[in-house]
Amino acid sequence: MLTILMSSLLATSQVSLSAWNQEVSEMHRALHPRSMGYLDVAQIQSLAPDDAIQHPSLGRLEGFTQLRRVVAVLMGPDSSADSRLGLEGSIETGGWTSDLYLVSPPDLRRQTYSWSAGLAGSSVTWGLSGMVGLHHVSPTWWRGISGAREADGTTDFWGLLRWKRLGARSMVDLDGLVSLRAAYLTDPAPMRLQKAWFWPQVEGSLGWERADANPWSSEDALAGDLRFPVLDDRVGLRIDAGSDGFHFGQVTTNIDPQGLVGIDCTGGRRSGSWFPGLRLRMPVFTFSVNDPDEFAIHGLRGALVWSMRFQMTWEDGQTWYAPGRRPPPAEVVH
Amino acid sequence: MKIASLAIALVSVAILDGCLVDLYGGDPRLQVRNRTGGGKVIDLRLGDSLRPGWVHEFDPPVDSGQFSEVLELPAAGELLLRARVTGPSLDTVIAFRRRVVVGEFCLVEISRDPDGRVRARE
Repeated sequence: MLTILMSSLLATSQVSLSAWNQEVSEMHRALHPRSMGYLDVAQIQSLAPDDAIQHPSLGRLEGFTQLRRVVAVLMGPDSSADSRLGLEGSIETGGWTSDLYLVSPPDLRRQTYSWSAGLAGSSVTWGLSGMVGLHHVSPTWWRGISGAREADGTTDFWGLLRWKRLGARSMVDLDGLVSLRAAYLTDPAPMRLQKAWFWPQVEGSLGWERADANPWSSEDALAGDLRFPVLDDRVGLRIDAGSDGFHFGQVTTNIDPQGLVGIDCTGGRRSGSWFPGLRLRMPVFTFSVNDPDEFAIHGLRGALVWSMRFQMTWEDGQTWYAPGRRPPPAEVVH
Repeated sequence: MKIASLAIALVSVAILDGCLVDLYGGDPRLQVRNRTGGGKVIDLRLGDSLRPGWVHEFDPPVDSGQFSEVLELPAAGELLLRARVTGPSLDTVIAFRRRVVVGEFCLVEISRDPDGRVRARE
């Protein structure tokens, strides 16, 4: 019984840390010295009943997990300024519920709130941008027919830095280093090959994740990922693996050359089982079933995970795009 | 125009919410059959015996040989259930674990062994 309860507590902490670690990675891809802001509104939900949740008195319950998140980064409004400061803020709510929902949760639920606040800065001349902040997870509570406090809150600190194409991001908490990654990020300057704009979107990262922030296994792991084009701007590959094994491979296909609209197919492996994934990308909006990053965190015991996500980077008042892929100036999206 | 768009958005969310809720058939259902040969099942509890999270008192109590009404349980999974059974020379609470699945039906038979012990069986 104690083992089950401990694993349940670990799962709570693991979901919060892994999910925020993933969001820090997304912000790292999104921001560069010229960006004015970033917005991520996400709803992620497991679609199949999962019986991994141990209630303190009712037994081992079957239900669904979900995460709702709003993250915003706003830089100083003067886009012509060389150096700017900005603010980051986020709110996340999630946990476990006895039934699926969109608007009002069922009575019986395990609830976790978390928030973050950060300070950002950038310099166009230096090609430098960075952000530091703290992330706090409130105590976890069981609500409904048999309420109880389950886990204490935790606080961690995070930071990210980008210098031209090179970047680094890290998270620490009171127990030490949570994660550390070095990254090669896509340069926002487009290339022109003969008469056509070409976007060699090569991107990768290499680093280390502590066990409770590692969504792919329950052990400390060195991990890396690589994204590269295989057919100009139309087809790309993403491979993610670590010292704990192969994580996933993803084929990204773009209907438009800017990479704003497309379909991504994934084959991944977690807890010894293979899973398929599909993601539909529209401009700044994605709809996914088993998106690998989300499945790794929320797909406990092979449950299906779906998500709706509105995610964008602003570059000026009229230029916006999905993080990690900046359209060429001639084809700017308004 | 903006009001119409907002109304359409709200209706869409409400429809999607309705599709999501009870997607797997809703709350699990459970029925008790009393086969104690003389005892009555007074109530069914979920959780701690002293501070149960959920209690259903049968009114009237389930007599021996009878079925209770079908109950909708507030949770699914491997549940810790308790039932109070009374009768001539009998007043006890039995605890048992029962796996109930979202949207599915489960029958629990409460019976009495020849040695007098009350048990719950599927």
